[in-house]
Amino acid sequence: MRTKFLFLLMLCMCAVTAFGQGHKITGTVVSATDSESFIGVSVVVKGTTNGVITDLNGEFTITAPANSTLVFSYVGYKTKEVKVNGQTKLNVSLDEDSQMLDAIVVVGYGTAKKSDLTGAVVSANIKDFEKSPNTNLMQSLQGTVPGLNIGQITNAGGTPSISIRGKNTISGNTSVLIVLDGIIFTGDMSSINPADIASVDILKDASATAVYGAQAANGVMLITSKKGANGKAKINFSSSYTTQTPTNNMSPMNRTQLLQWDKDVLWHDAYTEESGYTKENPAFDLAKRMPDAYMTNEQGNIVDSDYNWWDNFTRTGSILENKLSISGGNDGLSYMMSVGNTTQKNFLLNDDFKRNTIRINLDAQPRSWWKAGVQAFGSFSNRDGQETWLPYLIKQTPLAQPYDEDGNLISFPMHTAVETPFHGSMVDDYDRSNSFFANIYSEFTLPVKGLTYRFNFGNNYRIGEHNFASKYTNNENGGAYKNHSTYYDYTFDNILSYTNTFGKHDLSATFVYGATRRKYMYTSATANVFPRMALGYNSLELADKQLTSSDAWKESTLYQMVRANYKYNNRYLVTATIRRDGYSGFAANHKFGTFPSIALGWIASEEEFFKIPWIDYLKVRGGYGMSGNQTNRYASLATVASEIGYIFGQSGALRQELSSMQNSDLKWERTEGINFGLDFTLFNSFLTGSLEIYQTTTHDLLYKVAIPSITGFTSIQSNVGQIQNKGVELNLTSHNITKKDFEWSTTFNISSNSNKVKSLTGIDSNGDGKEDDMTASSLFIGESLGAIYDYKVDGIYQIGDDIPEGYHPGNYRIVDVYADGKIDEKDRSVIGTTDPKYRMGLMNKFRYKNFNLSFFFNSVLGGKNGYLGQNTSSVIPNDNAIRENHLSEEADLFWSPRNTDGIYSRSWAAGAITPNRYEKRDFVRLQDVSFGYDLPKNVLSRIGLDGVNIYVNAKNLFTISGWHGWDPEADNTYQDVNGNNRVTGSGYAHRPVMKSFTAGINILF
Amino acid sequence: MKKYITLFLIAFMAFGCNEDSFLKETPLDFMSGNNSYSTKADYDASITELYYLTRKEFFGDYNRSMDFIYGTDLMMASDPLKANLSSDYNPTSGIAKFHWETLYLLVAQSNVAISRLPESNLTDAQKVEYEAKARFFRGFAYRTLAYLYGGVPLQLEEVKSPKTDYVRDTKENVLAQAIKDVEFASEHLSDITDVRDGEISLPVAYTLLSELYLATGENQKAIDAATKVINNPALSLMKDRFGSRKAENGDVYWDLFRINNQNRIEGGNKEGIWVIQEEADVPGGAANTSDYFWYTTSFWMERFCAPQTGLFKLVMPDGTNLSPFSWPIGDYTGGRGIGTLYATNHFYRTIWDGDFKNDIRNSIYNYPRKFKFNNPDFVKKYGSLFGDSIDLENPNLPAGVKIISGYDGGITPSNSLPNRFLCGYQTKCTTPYNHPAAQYLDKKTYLLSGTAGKTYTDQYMFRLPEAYLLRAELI
Repeated sequence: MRTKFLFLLMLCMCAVTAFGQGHKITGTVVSATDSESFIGVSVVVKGTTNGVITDLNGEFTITAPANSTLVFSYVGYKTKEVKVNGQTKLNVSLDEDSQMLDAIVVVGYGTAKKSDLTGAVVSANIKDFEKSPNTNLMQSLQGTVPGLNIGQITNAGGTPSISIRGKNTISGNTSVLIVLDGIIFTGDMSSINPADIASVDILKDASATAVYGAQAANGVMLITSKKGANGKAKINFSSSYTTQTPTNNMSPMNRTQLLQWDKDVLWHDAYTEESGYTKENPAFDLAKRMPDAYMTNEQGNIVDSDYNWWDNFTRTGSILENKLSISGGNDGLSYMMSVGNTTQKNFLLNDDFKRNTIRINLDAQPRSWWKAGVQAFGSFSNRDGQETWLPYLIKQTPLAQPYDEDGNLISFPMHTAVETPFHGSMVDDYDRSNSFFANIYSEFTLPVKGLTYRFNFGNNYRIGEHNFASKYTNNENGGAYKNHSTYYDYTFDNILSYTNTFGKHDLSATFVYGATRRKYMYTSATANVFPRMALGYNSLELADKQLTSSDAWKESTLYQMVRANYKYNNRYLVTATIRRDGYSGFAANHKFGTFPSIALGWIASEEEFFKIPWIDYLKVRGGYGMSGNQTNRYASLATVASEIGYIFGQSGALRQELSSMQNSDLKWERTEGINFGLDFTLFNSFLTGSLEIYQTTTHDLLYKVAIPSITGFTSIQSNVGQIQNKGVELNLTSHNITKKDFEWSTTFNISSNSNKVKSLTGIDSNGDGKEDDMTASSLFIGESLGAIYDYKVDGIYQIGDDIPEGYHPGNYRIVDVYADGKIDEKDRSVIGTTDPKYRMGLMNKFRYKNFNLSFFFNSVLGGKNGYLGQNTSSVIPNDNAIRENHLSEEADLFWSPRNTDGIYSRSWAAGAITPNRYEKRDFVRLQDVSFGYDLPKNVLSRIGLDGVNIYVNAKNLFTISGWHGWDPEADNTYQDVNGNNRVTGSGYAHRPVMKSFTAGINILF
Repeated sequence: MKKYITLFLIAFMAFGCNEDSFLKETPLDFMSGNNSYSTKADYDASITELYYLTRKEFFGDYNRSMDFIYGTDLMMASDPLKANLSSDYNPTSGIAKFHWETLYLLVAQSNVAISRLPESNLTDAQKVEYEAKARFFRGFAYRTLAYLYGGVPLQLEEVKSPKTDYVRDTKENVLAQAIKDVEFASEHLSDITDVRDGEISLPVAYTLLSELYLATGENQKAIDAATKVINNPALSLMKDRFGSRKAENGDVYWDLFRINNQNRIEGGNKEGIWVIQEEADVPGGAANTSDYFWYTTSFWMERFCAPQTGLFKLVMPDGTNLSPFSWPIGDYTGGRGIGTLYATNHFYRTIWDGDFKNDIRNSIYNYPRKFKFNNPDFVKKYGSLFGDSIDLENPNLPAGVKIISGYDGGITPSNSLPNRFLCGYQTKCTTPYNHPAAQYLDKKTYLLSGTAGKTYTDQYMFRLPEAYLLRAELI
């Protein structure tokens, strides 16, 4: 044992001596723009892994052979190669790389230099939003990448909606494919600590996404976690505290306001007809119109109660975050370790989120021809506690009391089916999700020059535990459940890569053979009616009624992919890929699909003849590709649903129903797309940018085609129709001022997408020579998928207007679109779309000496009839209209003869048709403002720190919008008249979006 | 060496996987159409489906189950079910759609069972038995479709690929098909003494046949079928008090509609021919004490047909007003009714003319018109003035006292009785003093929770008196 150890030690020393041989070089690295010294520049001997990084003063010392070449690289600067030529002192200056041409971009199963890209691939700028209180990484992408659409979130620990370019499916999967460290990630983005992430790259066009074939039609997002770098260990600690209030802070009416509301509901009686219903009617007694006994006392007067339900369930929100990471490395091993802790308490009571994360990333090189490593994290999320249901909270009348004389909670304080909000939150709720991820890789240099083999073995494991007990459910007889789910997937990818240069020819190729398998299991145990509730969900067997259920599924994919890249003379680029995908969920006759792509690029500014002085750099790209959208697993099978469905005497009996028809021809949706792009740098690096123009067509849409219910089925999952998306995206950055002490840069992006249904089932049943719309499914040929088919509302009928029969003052005025003098169903038409027309982001960054300031505007606009959201309400005098409370801001918007500008209908009687009103969701928002200060280095070095940054941040500081409600941007789903899902903004019945203020500190040592 | 290892690895990965078996799709938590129709257990489950759909159609949907009395001369419909017949009965309305889809689903699931019988592993005798059961339900579904929609398309096989070219058949053909199916059933079903509570049997088939023959004018056959039912020795009219609550005040008609009293074996009821089964809070029982009305599996007759007494108030001469009722109380005030389907004058008065006092169905237990006050505050303060109850046939209010009852239709207060807030009603829609324990908020005062409103008894599909009535039509 001892001898073995000694032997090993000697071996190590030999290795060290072997590296030690050569020539000692020292030097300094500075920035070419301002001659400031550079900390952390990587200095590597070309062709080896021998390297160091520069210190605080930008100095480095390295030992290298006298005839070698040193490679200097730093993020945001052009990599420089310097021949040693026997020198011992080297002073190097690095030029800023405004186009980031040397930046490494992750492209799926490998990386590429940005200058070599041929497809629409964008690296997101997540660095500028590190100071925002974004508990979810996706929030840092909101509005910053043209073509990447990130929604708002309204609950603690939520993940916003994510989409790339337009919607290209009716009922298929709409999720962007997320790939984390090379492995497809199906978990929740909220399990990821944003501080662990080094880069996010977005594959937008089909030529780029085709490497992920049948799962890539909605675009691909590649997330890469941080790695350790060679050199002294870096320890980074950061801490921040945030307070939050709604962007639009509202509250329900108090007693006085509610009684006025009631009078306005009863305006026909409460005000006199002679005055046009604007003067109070002395004969009117509101107390007599109160529907419930508790609202009046024995003398018949309205009770004095003015209970504030709202304050019991709302608060100033907060987020506390603490993060620590250690990274570093030396020859043969680098590491990154981190822990993170987030505690978020949102505006609504019990809307809480806590997350602890740990991560270890290791990269080892045990032999010169062998690399191996692991990226692993564990994430522990806690969503304990249940918030009460907001619509019921808002409805509570201040006239009702929560407790009776004996101090017991009143279950139905309003004497309707609306339960007390206290029941919703006074529950025992344990809601945890734990995620574990480990990707183990190994990479071998093969004995053919430029050929390497790598495998990735990625594992995701998730456990969900949701336990709940409430003594108020089951009519206060108590109920409890324990739900347990586990999910496991593995990905095994074999990647063979080849890269070589033959004179002016650069050639590289990648071959992938891989498989994934995903498994899910779920168990639920529910117990209802407890004689005694004390043990809650920990002793379900105490209940009278016990129910169990379980679910499971499994799916597999199998794929091969080949990609070839060719570059000639650093200016002509070709990328071609083909992928073959197999998926267990495809029908028997279509287990495999094939997805090709090809793209070309030309760096025009490299040409000898290119002599336009104000263009520094110009690259033209174009590509074609095909990607797919998978069917849901089991969608092609004939399903037999079974359950205990009937009872004979006292004994339960199993029933089974053949609930879907088999379709052995069901296949994936295919999206074909072309993309044309330009990358440019102009006016001596003053302006850089890129432009993308694209068009995609999706065929064989997965859709449940309606069939007569006489067959026993109402629909069959089929492939029909075509959808087209067209769009433009532009990204511009200008370096307005670049001085030693003062810098100012601006980044602007804009994107526009239009979506059109080209064909559906292809049936022309009315024989007019045009294919039929599918009105019952809200699908219209030539219109967007988000088309809104409804009545057109033009304000509200006023007293004295010429009002058609069946309508009354205060009803919505429906436009006679069909122009036949009648208001009926024929007057419904496509009045607009829920899709935005333009999305824009504008970032300004300033640096003055050690002070940094940035502000970011985000805007989404609908154009003429776009970005419409349903925002409707109407009230007629009935019991609930008198009882139920509203947000006071909303209440003020109801029409009455005293409020003729009101936008919501409040009429004496309902009109024959009560239409929905829509309004524009357009907004401009100051989404992010950050102000930071870096403590001077000379101060820090005295206390042994490498860097300290203190900052303040304001998020969603103000929003300009004509929208009525909590917030225009947050998406809320509702069902239109045909039962199809549509989105709208956050109206008065939805949830608030938070405005927040943060103070924080980052310490590096 | 490493070269060989790598090459081996690549070769292994490239050829080491059988694609077909790796991608074979096997459902884990549901059955598929290919393996679910072979054993007796499979067929029991398929036939149970037909009972389930029958219950859903007639007694298992929130307001669709009420369609069989909504719009008839029995009931007034008021807010929030205010009648708007032209839109309610238009072809795309919920009413037309629900019954069409549910009944055709009953046809389709019967067809699946019948079409797959030859391929099953059942014995020949079992095949006949299950065919008889499935064809009974198919006949029952076509009978109902013919009554509701007239001539409808006939589909008699399982549909295995999308079919869209249906055309209406004649009503005569639809009824003829129903008769053919039920006749087959009547030749092969077991007698009522050989089946479990709730199952179909020979007298069930004959009752349906009698009705169908009457509809097609085959009067003698109708008489014969009804006679077979009436003469069945296992069936007889209930004339004496019986069942779970026979010791309480009441009468035998009242006993017929009390919890657990409908079934032969369970309740000793000899009148019930086909009883639709309900059981609270157990899988398969449909009724549920914790669901609100937007969950639809329960039977909600109490909600629709009993009055909403809490909105009935008495106004004293000094202006004080108070409801004498602490709605919702599970007593004779009707539980948690909202009274949106309350009796028309025809049902409230006309049909009882001449026998108002003596008709057992109009007794104080079965059709109460006098309501005992159950608000203790009211009784304490005004008991001496009003006594302990109000009789709608003779309100006899003290001078100066007025009534006010909530809102009718949301516009004008209604002060004429009866109305949806106080009216006589049939107690078979509720279970006085006998709701499931979990439905009470306070068992002592019988205070019900906000989720009440369901009717917790089993429901008669066919009852012996119907056979008498059918025969009486013809003789």
